[in-house]
Amino acid sequence: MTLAQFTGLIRVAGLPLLVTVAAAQSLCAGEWTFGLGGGTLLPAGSWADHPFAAETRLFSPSWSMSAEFAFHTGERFSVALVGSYGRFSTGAWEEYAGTRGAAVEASAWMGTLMVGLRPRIWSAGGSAVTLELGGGLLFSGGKESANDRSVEYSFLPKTASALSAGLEVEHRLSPSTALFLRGAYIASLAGIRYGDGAESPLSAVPLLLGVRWNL
Amino acid sequence: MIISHPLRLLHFLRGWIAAWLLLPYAVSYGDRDGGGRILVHNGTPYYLHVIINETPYLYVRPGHWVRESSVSGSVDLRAFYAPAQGVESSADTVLQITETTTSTVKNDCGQSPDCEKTTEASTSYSSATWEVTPELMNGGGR
Repeated sequence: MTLAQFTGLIRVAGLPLLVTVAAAQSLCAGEWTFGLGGGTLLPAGSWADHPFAAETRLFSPSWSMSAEFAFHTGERFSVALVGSYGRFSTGAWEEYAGTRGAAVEASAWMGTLMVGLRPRIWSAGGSAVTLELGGGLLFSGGKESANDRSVEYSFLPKTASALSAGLEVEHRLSPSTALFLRGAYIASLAGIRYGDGAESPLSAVPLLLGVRWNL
Repeated sequence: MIISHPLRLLHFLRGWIAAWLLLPYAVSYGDRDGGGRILVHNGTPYYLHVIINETPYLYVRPGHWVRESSVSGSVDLRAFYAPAQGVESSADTVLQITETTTSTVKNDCGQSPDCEKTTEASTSYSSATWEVTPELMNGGGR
């Protein structure tokens, strides 16, 4: 994502969110938390397969990170604004190309900005399990260089609506700090679309381990 | 007013949630008005990358088409084999999309001094097709 794209995202999406969240705070009694997480991003589905390289994934799992602000209305429910960014590995495709005499360098990324509703479904002592249902925006891009030519992965949606469903396990480390392990399934409402119109739905699974602090 | 129940918070947020889901379709997508159409056919047995006026169309399957609408004037086209297929070659060309404006008289008043003649202008565009063949690619030609 370029700086111009990020600035545009903040301008378009950030202000309504801040207004929404501020209004929610003014209307609800609760507390705020901030969390940071890191882990992996797994592409889910056949969209990550290479179009013609048999048995080769164009996109494979790589790292991911997230940041979130959550507003907890009580012990059993919270609303979170979650931003994430992750990369996909293209090593399998590069290796396949190399065995066939082509020096390919490729990269791809995916980011999301989601609002998640988190009902707590189980708690005992200092641990809890929370469900997350969310929606928001997905961003993606990438490029490939070979034979002194570079092309953008135009088949990846630059911006798309997305829905997510996830599960989180949280464990209190102290009254103001908690450790969390979260997995989610993110489905883009706009899939990939190749130059000849071939389409495939896009989805991914981030798995994150993180820390959350009371503000 | 205090919203004590999470469902009321969800009810409050429903408008914003709907706006968020629809936002990419409002700002990212939209049909461009005007312009002609370019068709590129992959007549080779390999996957092609096609560039139309700097817009990439990747992994075009053998026998399939690329369609680009809303182009006009000189259109730069390049095609090259996707890497790792055992072939390396490219071809390029420039096609012309011409614009024709037609004026139609809607109210022919003849010699009457009190009648206001009106005309309606319409614009049409040509289309062009580029057939990419192995012979074209091997010759690097146009």
